[in-house]
Formats: sequence, C-alpha cells, structure tokens
Amino acid sequence: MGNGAQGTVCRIFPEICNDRDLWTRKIEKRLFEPALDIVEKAQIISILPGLFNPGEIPGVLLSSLNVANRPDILRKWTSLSAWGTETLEILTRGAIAERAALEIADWDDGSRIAVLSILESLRCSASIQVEIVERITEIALRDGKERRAIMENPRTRDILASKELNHRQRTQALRELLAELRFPRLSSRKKRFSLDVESLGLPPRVRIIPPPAFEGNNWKMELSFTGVEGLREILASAGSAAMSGRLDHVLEPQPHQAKDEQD
Amino acid sequence: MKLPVPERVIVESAVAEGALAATLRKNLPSASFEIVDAIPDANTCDPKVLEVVRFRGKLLKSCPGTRNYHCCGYRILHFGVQCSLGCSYCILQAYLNQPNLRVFGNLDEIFGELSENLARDPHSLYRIGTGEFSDSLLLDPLTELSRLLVPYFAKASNAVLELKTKTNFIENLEGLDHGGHTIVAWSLNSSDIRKKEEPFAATIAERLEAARLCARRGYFLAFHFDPIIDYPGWQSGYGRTLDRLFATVDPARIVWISLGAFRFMPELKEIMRRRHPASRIAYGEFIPGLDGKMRYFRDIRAEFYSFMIDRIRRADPDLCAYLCMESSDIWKESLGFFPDERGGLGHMLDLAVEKKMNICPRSYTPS
Repeated sequence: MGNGAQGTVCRIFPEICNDRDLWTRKIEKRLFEPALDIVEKAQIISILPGLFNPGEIPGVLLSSLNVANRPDILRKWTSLSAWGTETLEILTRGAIAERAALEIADWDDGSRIAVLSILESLRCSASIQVEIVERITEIALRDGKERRAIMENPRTRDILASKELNHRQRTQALRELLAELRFPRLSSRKKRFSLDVESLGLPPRVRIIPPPAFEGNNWKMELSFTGVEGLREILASAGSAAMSGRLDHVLEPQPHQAKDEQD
Repeated sequence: MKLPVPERVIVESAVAEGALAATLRKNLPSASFEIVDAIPDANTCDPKVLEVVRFRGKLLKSCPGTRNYHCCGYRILHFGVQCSLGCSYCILQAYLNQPNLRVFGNLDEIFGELSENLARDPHSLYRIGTGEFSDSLLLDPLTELSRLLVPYFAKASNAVLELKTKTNFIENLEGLDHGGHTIVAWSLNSSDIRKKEEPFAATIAERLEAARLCARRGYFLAFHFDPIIDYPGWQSGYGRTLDRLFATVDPARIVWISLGAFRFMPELKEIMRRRHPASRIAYGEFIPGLDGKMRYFRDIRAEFYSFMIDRIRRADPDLCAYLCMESSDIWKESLGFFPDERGGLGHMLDLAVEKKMNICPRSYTPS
C-alpha cells in the first residue's frame, strides 16, 4: 500500500431516507466536532426552517447551536448565510464577532462591505464592534441617510487613514466621533464643561467630575496628593475657588430663558 | 376615531355572571362569548379578542415613582390591562405575556377595595386614576365602567377620579351625577407626533372638542403632555397644540397640566424598532436615567419644559403645571422652584384640587 489514507468508512443512505433525517444526523455529528465557525452556523440555521416545524427550532436546535432565541433571529442568520463569498470569507477569518455580524445582517451591500473593512482593520472587541455598528445605524436612521454615508464622512475617513494612530487609538477616535454625532448636545455640554472647569484655575491635581451624562446632582471632586502638606495646599486652593462663587456657574443650573419658537 | 369591536370575548367562569360580563353581552351582540376556568398568558396578540378575568392582585396601587425623581403620589385603580391604540412609544408593548385587551370582571371587589381604602384615612385626599395600564375610556362604550365610577366618586368626599384618555369616547359621561369629583384628562401631543406615533388615537382636534363638551357638562379637566418628543420643529408643534388648547377650553376648568419628556425602559427600544420600523423617536439623545429608564439628556428636557411652562403661564399664570418624574435640578431650571419648597408635589396637586374643585378632606368630619 502506498501513501495516503488506509481506507474510509462510508455510510450510504437509501434514496427513501428523507432530508430532515439526513440533516439531523449531519448537524448532530457536526456539533460534536470542533466549534462551528460563524459561516457554518449561519448555513445550518438557514436550513432549519425548511426542514423542521417552527416549534422544534428554538428549544432544541437553536439552543444546541448556542443561539439565543430572539425575535427575528432565524431571518437574520438566514440573511447572513446569503452574503457574497467575499464577505463570508471575512467572517470565516474571524474578523467580526457574531453579535456584530447579526447587527449588520440586514444592511445594504455597500454599507456592509464598508463596515466589515473598518472592523477588520480596527481589531476591536465584540462589544465595541456592536457599539460601532449600532451607532452608525442610529445616526443614519435619525438623519435619514445611508449608513455608508456615515462611514464616508471626511472625519471618519481621516481617522481610519491616520498613519500616526495605532489600531487602538483609531478605535478610540472613531468611538468618540460616533458618540459626538449620536449625542451632539451632550458632547457640546461636555466640551463646555471642560472649558468652564479649566477657567476656574484649579490646581492641576484637582478634578471635578460631573454626574454621568450630567444627570442628577452627584458631583465628585478628585484630589491627588503626595503628603499632608500637599493635601493642605490643594484643599486651600480648591476651597478658595469654591468660595469665590465661580463654581456656581459650572455646577448650578441656570434658569432657562424661554424663547419664542423660531418659525 | 374608531371603536375597537372585539369579535370574541373570553370570560373566566368566576366573573361570567357579573355585571361587567352582562354589559359586554348587551353591547357586543354579534361577538362570541366563551367561558373558561382561567385565561392563560398568551404569546401573541389577537386584536379581535377581549379577555374578562377575575384579577386577584392589588386593585388600588400607588403610582410607581422612584427615589430620584419627584412623583405626583397619584393612586391607580387597576381595572384592566392593554390598549389597542398602538402608540409607538407605549410601555404596554413590553407586557409580552398579556398582549390582549383585558378587563377585570370582579367589579364588586374593585369597589370594595376602593371603599376600604378611602375609609381608612378620611382626612387625606385620594387622587385616583384608571389610565396607567390602559386607556381610561377606550373600552368605555363597551364596558360602561364610567357610569359606575363617576357616581361612586361623586359621593366620595375625600377622593377625585381622573379618567385619562387619548380617545373622544365621552358619550357615557353625559348626564352622570359627577358631583364635581371627576377630572376628565387628555394626553396631548403635537399634531406631527400624533400623526406619526399615535395614528389610531383621536386627533388633537377631536380630543379638544371632547374636552370642551366635558367642560360644558361641568366636568373638571386636566391635560398631560406626555411623552414630549424631540424633533425638528418641536417648539412650533407643541406651541400650536397649547394655543389650540387655550383657544378651546377655559383655563379655569383645568385642574392641572403635566409635562413629561419621553422616557422608556431600555427593552422597549428593540420592541419599537421591530413593531414600528418607521418611527425615529428611539434615536433621540437618550441617556440612562437614575431610575434605569432611558431619558433625554437633561438640557433637552429643561428646554422642553421651560418653553411649555412659559406658554402655559402666558395663558394662565396661576394654572397648576407640574413635571412628571423629574429631578429637583430640572424643576429649578424650568419652573424656578422645586416641589419640596412647596410641601412636595403631592401637596401641590392636593392644593390644586382644593382651589379648583373645592374639595378639601382636611376639613371633613366623618358622620
């Protein structure tokens, strides 16, 4: 006998054997082999509705595949399995997390290809991928634009093309830009707050931290010091800033000036 | 607007012989009635079904306020669940295990619990409403519940009833002895939002016309601008509704106007996205609030309220206007004070009842 396989066990099924049984065996066997990649999973899930009763799918099959039974989940996986070869290859390479892939399952081809290329270059975690795709979707829907237009924004392009930033810095810069586009009023308040605090002339080792999203009254002051004398100095300096009344403008809400409507 | 007419009424046997079931049979002659021991929870909504159950929980509840935001201290008379108006922002969509219209047939127990509570503290004012888990008047043409509630409250010296609705189903209120103890209240919005997000509710014109008729019948009125929604041109939209309100209704009949910016449990976002794909309201600048709900960023809320309060004060500087579930800093910024400076929000509303409706249980001596 030469090189190569010694032999192989073949199982031949008669013609009368139905598709459902064959697929059940195939899926069961595949589940006990090394973990399925996202494309294999999508291909299996997309076949299920044609072979099994709707009642059987969530309880038995989806749970075996470790897929949460959420509304629309079968449709999303089915759309994902129908992507073109190029995009499926990106998925097979593991460049995009399953959760993010499902989020973009229904996107138009151009937007999907654009975001896949961005996510592949950023190499960020699954939760950050989901955050990025959600932000893009929400900005696009709110503004009535195509998702691709958000990614083709010149500021987005500059970040992604930057030679000075590594992939972590690019990820952070993109997240900040998307946060600013998604929450413009909150972002401008944050910037204004930073400028106001700066103008107080507090010692460099004193930080005033607003409540998250400025909601409520739970403000914090953070001091860092190296000894008792340093602490006394910081307290004296922070105390005089607080007593001067300059903080009132930064912390206290000013009564709103009612304006007539514009139109 | 169109009345929902169920084709199938499922009644639990414990309430099958009750007054509510009898009224429904009278008003729904072509519907099929089916008696069952117990109605199980359902997964999908059947708009043709009305369920009549014996509710076994607490029938009079406190408004589910939270620690960080001022609550009105209103009490909820729980008479049913769900609503078929299908407003895109409605929290009832998240009640996934009870998707069908459901009313409680154990009326004797509802009124029994009510009387027991009112007798417990005759010197306290009970502000009671039915519009928390359903629309107060949506099914009224079928249930005629208002014909029982309004005369009941007319005799309750320490309580007022607030019926909150987005309908114009006020026929049953005509000719009732309300004794000046019932407030008929409408949820209002800008016409743009009404068209897009509340398409099956009465139009703003229909609601205001119904309010005008109720005022003519001697009822007191209230209005709730809740949810206020951010969109381009909101000032003009909400300003116009306020103008129409004050052009239609004498502010002297209005006991209070509440304002509440759109807020929602985070899980509602996905439900809205699925059930109302054309709606854009979930994509506003929402941040997690201190009660776990998503709320507009505070500056946006303060701007809404300041604008609305200014317009309300121009119409009537003494009209009681309040914020629903808002923090002290937003109150201060929008109204110039916060409720604790005036004895708390509950006290402010009690005073509004005393002043406008002349109801003051503190001075009441039980016989």
